[in-house]
Amino acid sequence: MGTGTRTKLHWVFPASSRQASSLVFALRDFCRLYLMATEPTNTFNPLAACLGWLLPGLGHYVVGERARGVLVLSGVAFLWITGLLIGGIDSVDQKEDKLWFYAQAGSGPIAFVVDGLNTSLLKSGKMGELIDAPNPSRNPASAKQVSSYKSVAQMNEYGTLFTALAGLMNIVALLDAASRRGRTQRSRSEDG
Amino acid sequence: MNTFLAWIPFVTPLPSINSWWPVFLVPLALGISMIYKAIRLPTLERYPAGVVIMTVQIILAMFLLALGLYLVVQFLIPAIPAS
Repeated sequence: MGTGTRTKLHWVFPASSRQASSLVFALRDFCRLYLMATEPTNTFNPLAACLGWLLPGLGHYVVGERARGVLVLSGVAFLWITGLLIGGIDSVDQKEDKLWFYAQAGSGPIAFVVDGLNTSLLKSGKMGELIDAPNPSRNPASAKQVSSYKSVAQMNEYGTLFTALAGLMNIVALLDAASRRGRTQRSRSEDG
Repeated sequence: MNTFLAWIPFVTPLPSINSWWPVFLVPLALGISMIYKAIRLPTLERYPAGVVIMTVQIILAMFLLALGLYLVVQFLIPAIPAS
């Protein structure tokens, strides 16, 4: 048996209690370093995510990033206002554009409010008038009436696109707010 | 212009702009940039400049994509022999 093999066995079966204790300390230090290296620096904050969904930017506001919160709110509001100006409230339709509505709902309750306004004002005929929609099959069962204020073609597509992108960007923003350590929290940990 | 007289903002769609709809790419890119830069910038000192630069980048990228597709459809595909 050579000298090298003896050295290896020396690590596995320490000769003295002093060597055994140094091995235990080394193992402990290794575990500590491993835990420090793998410890997540950002923890997920579900409250910030929920608040960011209720009002865009509020998630950033509560974690201490107030300026960012205001800017996120401005961006989402800009996309919503522009989208509704271009396409009208018919751009948000939970029944006819269901997949788009999932994206729009990322902006929070405003999507449900606008969809409710669309149903109560336009689809009911309270604003504008209900006219017969084209019925190529000439089947009386498939005949339906639509509002004369219904948006179609590029205007409807743009309105839907603007509001859906606002919702998707807000989801990105609220995930950022939920995983971001706030300014106060960060400075506290740096001081400590 | 007369069609704008019947326009009810937020209720009816914007009238008579079907021919220049690509212009709306500008506010779309601006809105996306406003939100993206608010999240991504480490400090907000260069926020306005960052938003303008990203808006221009998106518009230029879309223009180049459109140009590329135009060249493919108008010149490359007709040049492929049919047989």
